[in-house]
Amino acid sequence: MDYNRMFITVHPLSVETARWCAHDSRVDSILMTPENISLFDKKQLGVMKYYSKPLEVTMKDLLDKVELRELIYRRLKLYISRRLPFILSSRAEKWCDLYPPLSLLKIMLTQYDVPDEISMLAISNIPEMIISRKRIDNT
Amino acid sequence: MIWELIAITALAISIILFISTTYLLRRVNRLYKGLVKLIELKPSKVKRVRKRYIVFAALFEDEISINELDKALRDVFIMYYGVSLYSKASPRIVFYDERLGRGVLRVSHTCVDHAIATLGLIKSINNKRCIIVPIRTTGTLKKAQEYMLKTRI
Repeated sequence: MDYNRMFITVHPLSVETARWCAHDSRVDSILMTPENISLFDKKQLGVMKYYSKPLEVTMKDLLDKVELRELIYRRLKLYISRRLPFILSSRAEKWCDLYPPLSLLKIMLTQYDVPDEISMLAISNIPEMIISRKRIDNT
Repeated sequence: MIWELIAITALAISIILFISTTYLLRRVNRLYKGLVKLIELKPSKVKRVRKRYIVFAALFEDEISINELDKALRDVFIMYYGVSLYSKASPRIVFYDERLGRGVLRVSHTCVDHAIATLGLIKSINNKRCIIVPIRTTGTLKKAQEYMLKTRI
């Protein structure tokens, strides 16, 4: 498996895995979902910041789970306040699951108080940096 | 001996002055930041609610009528932002070309962000899958119609 040409996102389900992923150079981002949201505490944040590992969140999780919004909101605010890079993905399975970029920025602004500039980085610059660093092509 | 004493005293005085100046500057900076925050916290007085026109394009499986779109917009807006904000925003589709799938949404200027977010959140209308892409926000209907015809996705 050529780790240098693939975008690798890990969905950790235990604290050990989450810590290990944070300092593993093969991993490009760590996925935060409702199943593993409790793993993302200040210690995990510290490790991820030290190794500048981006956090990935999906729009489906941000919008669908109403009961977990509070937890997600607090984590997101903490991570953004510490200037940790994060990636916003749609987790689209069908074409209609995609979000227009402008709407995405406004959704993040109105629902999670994330400024437009940070959301813009999360959907464009940070993924682009990883893709260009790893020289991933479409083929 | 005297010159050395004078030099040491001068050095000590300069160090004390440096420390006190930095301390004072920090205090002044903190005061300034506090003042700026106070000014920013002052509630802005919106004298008159102005209208904004959002040009959008709908990508769909089947054709959607203006009534269906209006209903879906209302439902999604109320679901995510509530009835109170809906009444403040008062979004209305003023123009919609069913064939082209382009339209203009009118909304109050205080809730433009919410309206754009709502457009993105509409995923299906009457079990017909669709995406609504906001293109441009304008201040007049005339300009909105110009952009509607001009812009290509």
